[in-house]
Amino acid sequence: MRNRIVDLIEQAAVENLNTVFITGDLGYSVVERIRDCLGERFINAGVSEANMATMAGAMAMAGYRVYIYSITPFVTLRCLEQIRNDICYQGRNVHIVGVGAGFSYGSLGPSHHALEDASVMASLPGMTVLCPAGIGELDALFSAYANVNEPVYFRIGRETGPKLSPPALPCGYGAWVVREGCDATVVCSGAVLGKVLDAADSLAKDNISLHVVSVPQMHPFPVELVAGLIRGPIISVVEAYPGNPFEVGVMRVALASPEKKKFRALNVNQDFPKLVGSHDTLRDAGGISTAAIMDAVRLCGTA
Amino acid sequence: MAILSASNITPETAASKTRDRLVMSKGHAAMAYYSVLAAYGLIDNEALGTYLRDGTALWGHVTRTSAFPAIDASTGSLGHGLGLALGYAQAYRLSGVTSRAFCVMSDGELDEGAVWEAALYAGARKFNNLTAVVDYNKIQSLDRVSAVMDLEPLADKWRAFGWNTREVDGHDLVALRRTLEDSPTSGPLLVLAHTIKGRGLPHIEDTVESHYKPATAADVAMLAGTIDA
Repeated sequence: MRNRIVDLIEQAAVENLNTVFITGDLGYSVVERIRDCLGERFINAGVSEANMATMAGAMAMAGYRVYIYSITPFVTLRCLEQIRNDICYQGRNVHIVGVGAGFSYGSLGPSHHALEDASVMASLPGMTVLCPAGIGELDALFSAYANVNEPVYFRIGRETGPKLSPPALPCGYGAWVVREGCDATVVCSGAVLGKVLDAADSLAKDNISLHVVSVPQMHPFPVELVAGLIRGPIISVVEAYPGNPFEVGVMRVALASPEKKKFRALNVNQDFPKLVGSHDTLRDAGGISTAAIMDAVRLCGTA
Repeated sequence: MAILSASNITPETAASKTRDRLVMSKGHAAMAYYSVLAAYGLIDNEALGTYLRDGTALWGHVTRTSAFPAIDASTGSLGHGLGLALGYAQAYRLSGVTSRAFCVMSDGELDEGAVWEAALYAGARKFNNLTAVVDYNKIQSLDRVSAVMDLEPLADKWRAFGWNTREVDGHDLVALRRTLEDSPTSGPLLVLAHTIKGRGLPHIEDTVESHYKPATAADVAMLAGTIDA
């Protein structure tokens, strides 16, 4: 997905000469083309994320649309106060690209994992948090937010993600039905959708028809839109620690439903993994395996 | 005052997107900064009288407000201002605007790592449209700078980061202005403005207490007597 978002930014920058791309010295084999295309509007800030975020804020105040890019923890947690004070509070027109949602960086270790980023970023005034499941959603979201001159955080997985053909996902309406079903609804955000679809395939063999809703717009969570998309009990699945804005949004949907729908939340255990693992291994160990999703559906019952 | 005199920031240009920029990174100096802006007609005196009052625009730390477009950045958390001024300098370089970006920092602020990220970048990329002034009063929040985190040899540090450096008496506004007007072309300029905290009030001069004690009416009268009409 990182190749795709860099391509999208490049296209946007070709059309809009006020667009600048800044990397914190990351993106080997990904950013070379945009560097060659943008010339001086491609900036390598060095391994200095705090300065990168602050500079971006001031450049936005001077009239530029700035994209800042790095591996997720470095471009979110490392420079949190710079994002808060210099981007959200004053510069505004900065879009943040964090690569490595959840356990994407797997065996590289906890320093590179991103399980708290969505909560932290969503807590900032004016910030939109977008977590596409795959390229199809990324294309739709990028297009929808291209002219939004406000802080946006793209929470991007490393992998391509499931192949999807979502409808247009306009600002504020970032949710859609991926698969029609009637017994229970899994609402998910991000590339974990692949596991949810695997679970749906397996449950179908047991004659359980799973309805699958993807909500790449993690924050602000589109409560009313999602409320209109669900059927039966609700299970939320997300690759993030408990209490994240997505999960809280799904909970609000369940609480607001007239019949007080049953609700279960699947998220990642709030702990650092002790042993090396691939992305998939860590998801399974962290509590969001395909089997765990199937169990949650069964425990929640069906409509 | 010296920066405003050396810059093209005036009431007429305040709303311009291409004028010089001034980032007051030591946001806790808001009262002094706002007062100087008022002296230059960049904040009206009536508004200055509302400082810190509920429902008004002038917060206790420097804050951008559409009411006074000469204020180029909100600060208050130390270590952000140099990067903000650098961002303006970067934007001007990209767009071919020849204006300058100024930043005023405190000495205690130089403990912040983000200052040195910006310093490294600005020096390496030779931003000769960037000028930073350090209010070098040698006192920080709890103690003397030399006791908390000795900065010396400070000018050498900046030179090692690729900056031109000048040292002046920060109380000599004419010398400070001349220094600021004579900007080098080879890279960013760092001015160490040597100052004495609480100057003009012998009973608190050069003490940590001067950072905290509100001026009394007698202090104000004493200071007024030291200022040339």
